Amino acid sequence: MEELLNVLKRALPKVDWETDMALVDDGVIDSVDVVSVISEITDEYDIEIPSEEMEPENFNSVEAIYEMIQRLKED
Amino acid sequence: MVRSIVEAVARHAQTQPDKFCLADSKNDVTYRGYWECIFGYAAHLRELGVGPGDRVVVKNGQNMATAVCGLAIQLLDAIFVPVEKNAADARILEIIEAVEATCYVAAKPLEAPCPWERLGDVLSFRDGQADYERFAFPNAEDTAEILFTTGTTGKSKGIELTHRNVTAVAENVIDGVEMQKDNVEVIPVPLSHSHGLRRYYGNILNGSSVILLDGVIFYKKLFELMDRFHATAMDLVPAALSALFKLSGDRLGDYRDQLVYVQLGSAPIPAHDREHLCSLLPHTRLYNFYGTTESGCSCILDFNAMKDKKNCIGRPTRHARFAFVDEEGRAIEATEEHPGFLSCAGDMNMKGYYRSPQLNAETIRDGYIQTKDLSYMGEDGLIYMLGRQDDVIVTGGSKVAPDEIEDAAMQFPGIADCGCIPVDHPILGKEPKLFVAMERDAAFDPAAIFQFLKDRLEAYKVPKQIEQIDKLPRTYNGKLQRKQLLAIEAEKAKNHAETEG
Repeated sequence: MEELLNVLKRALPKVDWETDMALVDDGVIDSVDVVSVISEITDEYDIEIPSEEMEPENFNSVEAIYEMIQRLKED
Repeated sequence: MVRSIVEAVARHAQTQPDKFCLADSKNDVTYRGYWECIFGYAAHLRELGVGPGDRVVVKNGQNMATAVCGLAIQLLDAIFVPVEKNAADARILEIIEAVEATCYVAAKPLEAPCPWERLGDVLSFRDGQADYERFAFPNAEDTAEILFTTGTTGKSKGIELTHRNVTAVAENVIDGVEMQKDNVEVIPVPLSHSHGLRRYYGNILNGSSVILLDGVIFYKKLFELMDRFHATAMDLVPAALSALFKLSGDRLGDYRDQLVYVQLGSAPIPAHDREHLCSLLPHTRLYNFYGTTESGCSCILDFNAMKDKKNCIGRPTRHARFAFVDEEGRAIEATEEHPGFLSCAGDMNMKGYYRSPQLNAETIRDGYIQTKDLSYMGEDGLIYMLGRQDDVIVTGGSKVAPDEIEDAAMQFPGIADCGCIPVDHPILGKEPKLFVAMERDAAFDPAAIFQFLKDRLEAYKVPKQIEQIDKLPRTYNGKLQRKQLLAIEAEKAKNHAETEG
């Protein structure tokens, strides 16, 4: 999780990744930011994010992103 | 006759109060509800000291709050200055200072020389007692908004538009797409740019309905809202269309009997996406507007109905009058062989560049805004465009539109993106050079690409130089930044000369 946090901070340094739990729902990150996040995590973890995973709730918090990555790694 | 978009909302709130007006991913309101939101927030801004002529900078949230905020500002006869949602702080500060803003509305504060208002609070000021007399509606000649360009070089320009300009552009949209009263249009493109903003204005002026969304990346939400509100129209930029195809496959085809029209604009649509869209939505009107922020939505083409019209940008819209001029600005009889620069007049033309009298004198002549787009009117009465003067490649005396080469190259299997620029040639003067970005697992084979293009284009149009590049420089909405490609080429030429020297 710590490693992911660093990756996300690198992608979007201004976002408060540690405390915000509704990043997409509250408009803290927008569609352009989500694209940046996807770009960073696909490079870092060598995964592809399938279109079925493109749901706001998968990007609402660092925990949600972490769970999505774990799910995709298992597949 | 209403003089502004906000006056139109008030009128509709009286005549069709219960009609669905606007929705975003979280909220939906009727016309009466929308008016109550605008009225309430205008009252709040007035308490803060915002008044006629004041400039209020709003960072776009691509939601109902942003839309309400814009019209509340205009109800006060103040000036709406939207900035894009991903704008850097430095750019926002530059704009705040350039317009001497009275107030800044955004999701988050900024150290700025004016007070900050939270965008998330906008809808909380909704006033159920909203009447129609407390505010005087703005005059047609008052400034409604200033839209700042997102130029990649130099300082951005502020384009000042009056309420007359804004309503004329909205009427161009209504007329262009033959918008019906029961239209429900999904707009997943930014309200900070003229493209999205004007489609929203068109629907609101017409008393139709709008669904705002932040892009298409959460495409399931997009389709969910299209189902829930029975969307009959869509507004997309080419990059969003490509993304939607990649994310959802052919799902858009499920709406073939529901979508009356789709508007595309802001940048040229890649040929393969255009053809794919036509095949998915065979009976849907597919529009491409031509226009600029300075002179909006002046020409329209239904490319699903006129597939064979190469280089055609369609017919002039309701308020647009066209002329073709030469380098000196004199009117000429433009033809395909001798095109002229497209000049446009009409109520949709901007008041001018903000506080830039010299630039205005250079750009506006006798009410016409002159472009660098080489064009002519065909015998069918439609307008044809060969491309921007800066982009058209003159090789051995023949004019080549780089888009034509790019469209052909995009059909080559494995090419993900491409861009064409002119490079020096010792005999021909210039020749086209193609940069290509390949898909992840595709091999780059310039000889095969050359042969492919040779089979499809006239010989003088086929680029002899084909180079691979990781990624093509493009703007947020997918417009190719040729100047950056030219800069890459110039840098390489310089390095080459130094090595040789």
